[in-house]
Amino acid sequence: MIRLLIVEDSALMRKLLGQIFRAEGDFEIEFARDGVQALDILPRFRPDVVTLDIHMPLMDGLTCLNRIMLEHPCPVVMVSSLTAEGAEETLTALEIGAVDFIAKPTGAISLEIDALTPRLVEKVRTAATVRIRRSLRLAERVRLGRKAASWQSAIVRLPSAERIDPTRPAKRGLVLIGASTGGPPALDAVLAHLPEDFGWPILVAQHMPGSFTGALARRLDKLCAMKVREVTEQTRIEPANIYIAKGDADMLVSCRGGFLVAVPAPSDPNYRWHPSVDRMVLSAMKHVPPGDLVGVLMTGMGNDGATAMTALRMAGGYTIAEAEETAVVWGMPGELVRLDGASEVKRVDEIGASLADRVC
Amino acid sequence: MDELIAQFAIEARELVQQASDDLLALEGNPTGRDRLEGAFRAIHTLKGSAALFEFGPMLRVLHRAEDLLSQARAGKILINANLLEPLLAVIAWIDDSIDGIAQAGLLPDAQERQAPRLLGLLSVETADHDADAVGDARTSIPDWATSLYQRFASSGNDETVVAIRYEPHAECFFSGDDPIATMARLPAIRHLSVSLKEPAPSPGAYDPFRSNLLIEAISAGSLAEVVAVFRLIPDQVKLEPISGPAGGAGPTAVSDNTSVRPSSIMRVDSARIDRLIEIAGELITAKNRLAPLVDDARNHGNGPLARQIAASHTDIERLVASLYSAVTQARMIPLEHTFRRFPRLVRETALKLGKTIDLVIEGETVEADREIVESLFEPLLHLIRNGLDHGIEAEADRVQQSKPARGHLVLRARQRGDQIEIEVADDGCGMDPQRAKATAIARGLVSESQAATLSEREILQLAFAPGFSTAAAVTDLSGRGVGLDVVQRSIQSLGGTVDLRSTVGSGTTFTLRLPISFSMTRLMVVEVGDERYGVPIADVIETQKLPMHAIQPVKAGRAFMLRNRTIPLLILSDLLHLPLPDATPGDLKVLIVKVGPDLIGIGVDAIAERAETLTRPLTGLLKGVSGIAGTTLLGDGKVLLVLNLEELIQ
Amino acid sequence: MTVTLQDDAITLTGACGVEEVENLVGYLERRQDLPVDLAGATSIHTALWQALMVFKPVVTGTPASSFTSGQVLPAFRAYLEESQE
Repeated sequence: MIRLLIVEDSALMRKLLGQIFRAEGDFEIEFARDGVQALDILPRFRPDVVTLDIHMPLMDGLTCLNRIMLEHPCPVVMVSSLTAEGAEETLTALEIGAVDFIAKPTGAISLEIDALTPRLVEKVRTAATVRIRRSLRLAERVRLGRKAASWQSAIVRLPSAERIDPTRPAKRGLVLIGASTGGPPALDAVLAHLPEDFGWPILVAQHMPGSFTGALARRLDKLCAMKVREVTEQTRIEPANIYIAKGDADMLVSCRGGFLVAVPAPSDPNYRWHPSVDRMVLSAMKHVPPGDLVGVLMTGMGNDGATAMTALRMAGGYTIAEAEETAVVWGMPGELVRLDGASEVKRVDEIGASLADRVC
Repeated sequence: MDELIAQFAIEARELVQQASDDLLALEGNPTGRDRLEGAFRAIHTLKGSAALFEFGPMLRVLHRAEDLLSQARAGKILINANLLEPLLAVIAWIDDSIDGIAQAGLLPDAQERQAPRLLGLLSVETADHDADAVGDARTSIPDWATSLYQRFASSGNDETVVAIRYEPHAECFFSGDDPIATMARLPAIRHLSVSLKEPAPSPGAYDPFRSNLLIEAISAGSLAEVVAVFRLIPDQVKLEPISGPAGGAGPTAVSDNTSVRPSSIMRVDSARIDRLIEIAGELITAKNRLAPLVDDARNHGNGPLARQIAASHTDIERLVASLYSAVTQARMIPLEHTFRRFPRLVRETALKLGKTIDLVIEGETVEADREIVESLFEPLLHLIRNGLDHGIEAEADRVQQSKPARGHLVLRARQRGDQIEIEVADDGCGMDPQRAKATAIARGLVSESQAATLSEREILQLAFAPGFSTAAAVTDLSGRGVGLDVVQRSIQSLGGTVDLRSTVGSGTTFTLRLPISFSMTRLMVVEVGDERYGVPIADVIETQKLPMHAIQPVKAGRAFMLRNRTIPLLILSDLLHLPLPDATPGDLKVLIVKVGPDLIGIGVDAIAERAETLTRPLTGLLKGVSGIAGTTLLGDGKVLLVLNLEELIQ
Repeated sequence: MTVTLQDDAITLTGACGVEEVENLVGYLERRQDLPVDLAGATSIHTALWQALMVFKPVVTGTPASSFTSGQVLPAFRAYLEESQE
């Protein structure tokens, strides 16, 4: 039995989530209607996983999450609304230590719930298996406590690449990063350490809803020396830039008028997760010689990216899989390792340096 | 679903109360921060709940209300009567809607009609925004429609038509729209033109995933039909009904109040849905015919053709599967259809027996395929009668055992994954395993020595054996010569199982597990002599080729070795009582199947293709033939009997 | 593969969905000399029609769908004629 605590102020949502997980048959469920009650129940019930609504009376979700992480660390899945505000709060929650998030069901219940349920259940099941690392959690919390200004100074600068000569055509190399569950904090950890003049452009496919990726890009842009932007329309790929694929869609690498571009494309139903890492990598391989591609597959459930990055390695590209010890869920990188598609396996804090080595 | 609606109503009433308290307090004291937060939270939660259902414009109304409150929280707009009046109107409106929603599950018409007024109240700043769309009293025809009509009319037509101007949203491909395919759904299309809105961009700047199109068309269908086609994208389409110049001068606008408005529930004759399922089934059959073509093409050395066929095979496969699951969905009805017949029957039966019984029904909103729900009536009726008759004791006996005088009978359904589970539980006398054992022995169902090895649970399962009945006398109620074996068989014919648990003195529980709908099965086609049969691939663990000399006689039967394990061998033609083939072939093909804990080999003459089909339970004359799970139609149009190996072996 | 590059034509076969437009554009850009053959296409997504309108290749073949061959193809040809003027 998986012990699940559902923290949710709306009785309707409690009922709905309760119904969904009860139907699974192997969940033991308790409910809390607000953060105060949740903190009461936690030490007694000791859940394997908690779903936590962000908006609640008495104690809001983020405060509650903070207390949970300090007092009774356990895997927490945030229940968020798909709004701009929801995106910001969710990203903060992921930094504080939430494992993952699910979108609050909207729209006609009868139509959407069937489509949503399997994914929702899968996310909560996966979260229940995650080990919460006290040390990592603390580090993240301390880091978050710092002011953004002290941030920059805290970054260990990596050896900088050669200054880019604007008159010289950019080297046609690309870094392709894929991530899912646990991805946002991991992206911070890798990208914030890269120097402003990092030689190759970086494309990122982080599984997320469309309304969240803009907030993710803005947040990373504040933390990173490189320029970070969300790709909402066809965009020319240039060095020293990080391109975040828009959610609920895929991102392709293509060539237009002799220039490399990143193009948002409607999500292809042949791929299960979006933005699809597999599809991004395969499209890049059509336009860039494999030797000029570096693939990085980081924490996430499922196996998106593993097939394409294995093909990339076989074709002569370089691939890095995040190590099991730092990945929140070692699904995607684990699959890459199993397929023998990883050129090297690195802890999340080593990936930045490894990239700098390859590219600079 | 109804349960959720009921929950919504309860919660909505509380939230409405909270929001109006807070808003009224703000009217007296506009700086009350707590009150503002409270009102915001109430509206926010209401919106979240409304989003779960299809309450037409309610979501939009609440969304705007929340928007205003969130601007007020941010200090962007003032908290005064101009803000509070419209919000209070919204709250009053929601309050009025709740009863209707609780009853019908839909936003009542009266409230729905008021929605535009409320939206207007809520958007003071953007008041003229919707003016264009609302302008219904217009009589002149816009220029685009006139010139479109002229182009069409020049070809000598004068019908009454609808002019259509469709500018797909730039990101429409991302929402899954295929605008030209949408046009194909228009009735009686008379003219179509397609052009780029902006002049063709340079190839370097052209983004193939963004729409830059303008589509215009003339349809001779009714305005309502045309509106229905664009139901989901009313904001991207302009429609103009134009009557032909029959009356004399140029085209005139036809006044029609139809607006693009979604309707969520449609009643459809179940026969039509069945027809769709039939077609979907035939499509699967037709699709299966493509598979051999791939091999044909490849054998003729045409690799590219083979790949093309394989590709369309995959496409069709995916489409058929989603079509099939969509139609299957349409066949789902709540168990209530069957359950609601029981309260009256139970009351009448109890009266006849002189017992007082409370029937508790739970989970009647759980849905399953119509055929399953309807076929459940007989078996459930039998189990319920069984409980009333043999389970629940006479009132006097109950009191003597210090049980409540009124018997308790529970009929409970719930969904578990893709199955439904139905429990029929009584708090009666239970089944006595000793007595059941004695009966089974007396009826010759088991030998005494066999019975000694059975657990209590296993003994109880004997109640499902044909010819078993523990009741001393066959009453006219549960009697009718029908035993639990019939219940079990009818549940099995629906693809389900029945389980029985019982405790002496405290009651009996039957648990039925059934699929929610009939699904596609993957079959392996096997040959025996000239006959072909289907075997569900799920039943087959592996297949082996067995030389004749590897078969060893064991006692009365035969067996062979597989990876150091002795496996009994049965021959399918024997099981089916078919005449032995004239000549014994060199090798025997063997399907290894699992029956209970044992592996058994089943010999067949040949293993032919695999197919994915829709297996229908047997009906009519064949109903109840043991060993046959159902029938299916193959790619070559032949009917194939699908075997139930487990039944066949026993 | 529903959009393929042959020796003498770019061919569309079967159901050509929106995900095929990237391939089609790639071929159209590289091989402006080749005609596009629609004869084998069972359905063609709007995004592909738009690509054809942007690159204006010679289009051959009549798709089996009566709506495509009777309405869309003439509309497409009419657009080409208009934009030539």
